[in-house]
Amino acid sequence: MSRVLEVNNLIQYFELSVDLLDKFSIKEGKISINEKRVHAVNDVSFHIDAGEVYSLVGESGCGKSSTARTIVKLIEPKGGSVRFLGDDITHLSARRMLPYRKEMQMIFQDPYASLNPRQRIIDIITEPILFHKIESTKKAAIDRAKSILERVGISSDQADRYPHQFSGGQRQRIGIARALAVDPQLIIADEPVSALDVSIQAQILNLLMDLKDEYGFSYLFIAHDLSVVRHISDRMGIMYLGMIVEEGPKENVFDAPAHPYTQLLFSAVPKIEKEGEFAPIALEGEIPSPIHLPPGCLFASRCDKAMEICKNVRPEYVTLSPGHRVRCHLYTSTGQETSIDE
Amino acid sequence: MMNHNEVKHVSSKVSDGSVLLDVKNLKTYFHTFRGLIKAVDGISFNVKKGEVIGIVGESGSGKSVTSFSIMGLVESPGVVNADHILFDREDIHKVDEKRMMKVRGKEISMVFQDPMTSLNPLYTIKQQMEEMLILHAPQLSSHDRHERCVRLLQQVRIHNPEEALKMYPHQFSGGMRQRVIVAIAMAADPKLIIADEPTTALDVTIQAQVLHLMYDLVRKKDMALMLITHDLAVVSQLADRIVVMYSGKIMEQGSRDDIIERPLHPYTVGLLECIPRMNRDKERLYQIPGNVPNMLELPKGCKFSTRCRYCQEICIEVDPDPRELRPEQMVSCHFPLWDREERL
Repeated sequence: MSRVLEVNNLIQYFELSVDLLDKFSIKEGKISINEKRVHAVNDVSFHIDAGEVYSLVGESGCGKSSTARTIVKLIEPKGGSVRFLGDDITHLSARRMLPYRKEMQMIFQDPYASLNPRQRIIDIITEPILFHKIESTKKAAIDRAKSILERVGISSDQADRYPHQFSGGQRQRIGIARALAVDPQLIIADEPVSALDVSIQAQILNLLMDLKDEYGFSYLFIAHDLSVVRHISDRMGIMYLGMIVEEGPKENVFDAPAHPYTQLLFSAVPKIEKEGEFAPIALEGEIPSPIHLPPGCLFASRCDKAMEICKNVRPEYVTLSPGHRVRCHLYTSTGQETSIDE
Repeated sequence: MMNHNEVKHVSSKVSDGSVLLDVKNLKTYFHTFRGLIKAVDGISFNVKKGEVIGIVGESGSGKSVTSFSIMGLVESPGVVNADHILFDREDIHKVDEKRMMKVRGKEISMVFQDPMTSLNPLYTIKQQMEEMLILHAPQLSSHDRHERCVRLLQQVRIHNPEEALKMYPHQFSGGMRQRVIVAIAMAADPKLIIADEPTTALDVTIQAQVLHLMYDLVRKKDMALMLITHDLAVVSQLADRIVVMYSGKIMEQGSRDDIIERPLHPYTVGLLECIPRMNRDKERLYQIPGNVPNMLELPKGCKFSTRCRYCQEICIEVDPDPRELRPEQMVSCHFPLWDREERL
């Protein structure tokens, strides 16, 4: 199976002290430089094969969207590498990036903000077709756009309308059509259904899966809704504070969640089926600030299984079963030794 | 630190069955330039003492307007009509604004969706909490009030409440703010709390905390909770009874078990089937076709008829009246799904 995307040790941070004066302070007669950075993505590695759906899951602020934006180079990566279709695109210039952009398209969360309100639907779809020279004439581009609109369930009679004339679900279909129009190999969908009503959500999820089977592209799916992720993914990564703490095939992660954070997350999701009283694992403690990351495991301050080593040493990946790996000292040899010692 | 044992469970008390809130034939219409919008169109339901009732619906179903109508908060061009809205045997639909101000906060209080905007950014937490007590418990001395605030914050598990009282909302995270709002809602010991999407803006782990906390507190204090949400899973976990709304009408209402395990209305069935489940794999999701109808051009008959796969002639013509098909289970459908396994 060919590899579509390979991300290695990706790092992204944002400078906070934009003001030059803020950067310097005088302490005990010495000038010191304070670099205040929000560490959004800390050492993220994963890969996506052709035709695969990989999901990044986590709560708000965990860096899943920053990861997606860094991969498509909407923000320049600060470290690590991104290989796309076998080529290293980490430091390509905007111009040399163009042919790769055609192959990676995005679908956004908010169907109200992601379509230009002054453009007709047909123009929204034909623009990328002409830009990437998929079709050479305007006429051919319009025909192509119309057939794609029909495919996602928008009648081509409506192609001359403006975005505000459509409902949220229909707009999301238009956003999908725009991504499809240039025949990409990877679609990055950033919370594509979280703004939609449940009955519409099912329609869009079914459409996304049908299109994948039909066109054979891969998905990087960003979501916070675990039941949606379970439905759609082949493999998944659980993110916490900019790090993938657990990764593996969907079945392995759902059937045997290994990381304490994953377990906590799963217990917090309300389920339709009632199994006794609603009793999520109570979570105490605060999320550490992404500006001052702790040296050890990032989850240690909230973890009820935290050991001494967790506060000081950041755990490396431990492979539990093929493809299923976790960053937690409970599973490392050092961690086990310390816990026996105590 | 996580602590599994600290949160003690209060076994769900069965309410004594006496009705606390009885809404009969509530109609809230908005007269706009584009036409008449029947946001809520003739709904009847009741809330019993000490029970958790879930009101579920998609956007535009009228669930929020229902709560605003009960609280007397609908403003022009909205007009509220009802046979009665009995709260503790008093018709709060007919009382004057002065009396209603006593009811709000003291008897019925509300928790809103957005924790970022429902606290005033210019006042400290203490000022905002005390306001409620000054209005509804004027007999308290300022010292007693302070004590009460501290105790309330402890109840919603805010650590060092003395410090927290001096802080401003922006110093709190979203989850903490929502807990403060829950504390304010509980301050005057109301008999009913209406929570309108109280956790929709929060992350799952924080949502679980807040829901669990609210649930525990209302059970302990024997308050009734009206939980308005679009999330069937949340309602399924917490509610004793569930009301399913669609386009301003109640499609089906009944006990939690009847609605979740044995729904009869095609809309409820479809809604339950189209949600991906955490513990069930499925190749394809069931799909309710089409979109929620435009409120200005609602179908003449059953409001769900345009999307219903069992729609017949009569459904397009005649809006079905609610019928009690099982004890306490009211269904508004001409062709309820008695044998849904076969028909889906």
